[in-house]
Amino acid sequence: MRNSFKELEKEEMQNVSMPSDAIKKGITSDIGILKFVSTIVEMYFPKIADLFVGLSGSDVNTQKSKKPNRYPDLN
Amino acid sequence: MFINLLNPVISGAVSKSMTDEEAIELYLATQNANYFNILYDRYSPKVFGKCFSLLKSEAKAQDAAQEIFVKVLLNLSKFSGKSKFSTWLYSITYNFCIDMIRKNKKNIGVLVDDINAFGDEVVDEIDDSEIMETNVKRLKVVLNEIPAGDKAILLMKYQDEFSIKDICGILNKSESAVKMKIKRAKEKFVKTYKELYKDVA
Repeated sequence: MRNSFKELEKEEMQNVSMPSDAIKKGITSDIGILKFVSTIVEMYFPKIADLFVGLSGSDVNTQKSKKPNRYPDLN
Repeated sequence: MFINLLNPVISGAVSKSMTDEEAIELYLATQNANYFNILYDRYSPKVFGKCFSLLKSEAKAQDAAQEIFVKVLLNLSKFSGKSKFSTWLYSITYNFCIDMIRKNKKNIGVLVDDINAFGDEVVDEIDDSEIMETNVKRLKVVLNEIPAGDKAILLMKYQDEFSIKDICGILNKSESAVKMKIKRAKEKFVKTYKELYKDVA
């Protein structure tokens, strides 16, 4: 059976020139921005979290000092 | 560090012989963008063609293709391999284009109708050959006249030859709903064809 849809697809792909490099550059740029933003978030999120803890009235330094004892006294 | 998609290192012969699944696996394991380049080079013309066909604008198709590949790149780890990579990629393409059209227009046809409660029996009276063997020039005209949703579902069925099951996955609808949508799109196609070419036929 003839499939005009396939023929139409071929025809359209021949008639339209795809700006391949422009699209590739756009993808590279978008991914670059996303990576940059995620790096920034990764770097500063703990500090921002500390800031909110501080603003809520708690002492960030006190929170940090409550680390578990690495060498517990077993006696 | 920025991903450089413009620096192919893998030879043409290797990239040609590599399956989609192998390229995905190697990309996820190494994060080497050249493996993603293989997929891009293989599918970008078709993705761009589909975007152009649905959005009817070269600039919009370019933006859409770019965003689709960014989405694919970011979600590649979620590709389960249950369906072919091409099916997964085209499903993202269709959904993206339909969303884009939906944002601009209110009525895009059957895909917007939120009808899930169809009966099990959908009687399709229009023969596939009647639509598939339409003259190419007329096919193009009629497809541009019918709503984008109807066009998209006809392209999925006849151009990409997706199974009903695949289309269910793409549209996230039940089998009976998809059958009904196809039936309605075919009816719309035939009606529009008859309106446009009533004197010629």
